[in-house]
Amino acid sequence: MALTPDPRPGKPGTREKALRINLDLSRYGTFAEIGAGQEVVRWFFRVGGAAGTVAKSISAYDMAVSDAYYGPCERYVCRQRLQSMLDAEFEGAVRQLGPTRGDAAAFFAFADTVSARNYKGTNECHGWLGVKFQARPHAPQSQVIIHVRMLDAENAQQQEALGVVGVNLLYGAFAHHHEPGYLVDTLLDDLSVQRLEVDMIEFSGDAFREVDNRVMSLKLVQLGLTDAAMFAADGTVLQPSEVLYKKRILVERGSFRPVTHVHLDLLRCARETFLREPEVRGETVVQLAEITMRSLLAGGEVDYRDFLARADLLAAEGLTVLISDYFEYYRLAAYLARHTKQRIGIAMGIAGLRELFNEKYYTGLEGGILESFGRLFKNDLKLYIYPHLDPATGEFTAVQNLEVAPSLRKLYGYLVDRGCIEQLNNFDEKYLPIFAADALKKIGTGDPSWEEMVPSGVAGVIKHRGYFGYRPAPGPAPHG
Amino acid sequence: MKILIADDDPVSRRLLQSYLQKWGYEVAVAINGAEAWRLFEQDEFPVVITDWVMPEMDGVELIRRIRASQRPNYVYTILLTARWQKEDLIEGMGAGADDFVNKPFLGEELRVRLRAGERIVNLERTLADQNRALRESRATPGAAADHPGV
Repeated sequence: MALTPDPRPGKPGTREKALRINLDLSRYGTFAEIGAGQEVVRWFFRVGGAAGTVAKSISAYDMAVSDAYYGPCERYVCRQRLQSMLDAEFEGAVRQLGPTRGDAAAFFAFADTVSARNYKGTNECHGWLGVKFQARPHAPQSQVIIHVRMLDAENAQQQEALGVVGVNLLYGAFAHHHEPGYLVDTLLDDLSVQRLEVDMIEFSGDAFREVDNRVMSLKLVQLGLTDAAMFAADGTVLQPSEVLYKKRILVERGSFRPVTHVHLDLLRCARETFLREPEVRGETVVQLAEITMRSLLAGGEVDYRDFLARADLLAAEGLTVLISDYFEYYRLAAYLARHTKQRIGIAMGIAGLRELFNEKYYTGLEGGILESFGRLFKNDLKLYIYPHLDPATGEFTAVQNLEVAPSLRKLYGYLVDRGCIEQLNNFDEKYLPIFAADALKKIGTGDPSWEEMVPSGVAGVIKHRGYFGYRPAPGPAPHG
Repeated sequence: MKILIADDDPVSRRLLQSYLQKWGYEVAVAINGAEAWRLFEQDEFPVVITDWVMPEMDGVELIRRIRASQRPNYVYTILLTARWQKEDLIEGMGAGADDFVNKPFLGEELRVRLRAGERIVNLERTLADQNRALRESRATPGAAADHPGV
């Protein structure tokens, strides 16, 4: 009996999923689990019929044993370790079982390497899980890997959550590989975001040829499986803590619709200023372009083509992208501070700073705007501000003359005086009259002057891919 | 009216310059206290607006020098600074500053304070002119006969 997709609504529970996989005679493979018991394979043994599914179950708990199976490594709970486990186990299954069962079985290897809560509760509780599989017998391999943060307070609860998400991942890969967006949606079936966060997912291989992992990263945030996801300029999905851990971080938030000279000048100015900070000088700085879900939902629903257009333009400038559900800056700050105790800088325009001092955004906080600033500016976080030039009036606005509500002026002055808010003074004057909204409008109306407002690489991508309604100007009419 | 501004921060200089020009003042710009002092020695500036913390010569030292200079007309000085403690105000005003404006500042606030400074400068000039006229009239022979007194 082959797996059939679920009749929605009414998703199967964990037990049902495990049983369906066991009853699918074509699925046969290996489970390799390190760090939180053998919680995933246990489901398959418990529900019955495991003999048709589980070819091998292993837990190479000892480091020397693990190295003997999967090769040496510096860390055991990391993506590389997971990959070596998947590669070794899948290759082993195909090599050992292929000759006898290869015509009927679609082989798989499931692996996880996890750091569950230790006795003292002092460790970061997270893990990597993955499945490498054949979508059908003899099919080329495909793979899904995820990174999870385990949020339960007790080790036993974490183990249980890990077992459930492992079954969800396996079932999703087998039953929904043709519909990866839905696969993402089912990862936390029978779980909640209070128990488990999935902050990274990567699809690869034959069954996922058409999948753009950047869209899947966005899905994670959109569906609430995590508050933030990242990918590199080349489209590679990144696990945030591996990128941000103990790093100096500089973030520019924007809609980047499209990326203009101003966006890049802002980041350049902020980077130069940030690098002059004594705690940052000579150190590597992680630069991020952040797009919030609110920005992506500006049109009511997420427009994936529009999102990919922005991602492509940021990629053209070599920027790493952070998609977040942190509209409030203090929440972004808390997220970044979770990964590093080093200096964090946030670069923004003066309009963003003005909004930051709008009390309407903090009515949900008991301590109001004071609480938000207390949270934002702890750990020496600093805001780097780009000025604004009103093209109509010629009025120049900077930190020095920004008007905030009278009741907040002293607070504003204090934060400026304390160095929490710094005016950038190395900006390029010629970019001040550029506004992304104007560029966007001009692209749509066919006004070619938009090209002067964006970097040449960005202009090239927009023209080549026809983003934001770009249409090439009609050529000269044929003669005769 | 001609105003001398001194600030080592280019954004603050730009802001001040654009405000003052918009309000109809003639502006000279210096990037630190030392340059401001050189400009001050070469020209007449009824009003000087200066930042406090600057390289080479700070704003307080600039104001001390202005006060010590033997200029015939009064020079109105404003310290525009991010320093906001009471002790700072006392030190700045003690050095001879006439007014103290905190950064960040509101354009309109600076404008009304400048107007107050302008009034004082004009009053000082009027007074100086009247004193000069009085001295000249006393020094003129026969003038006293016109006012025999009581």
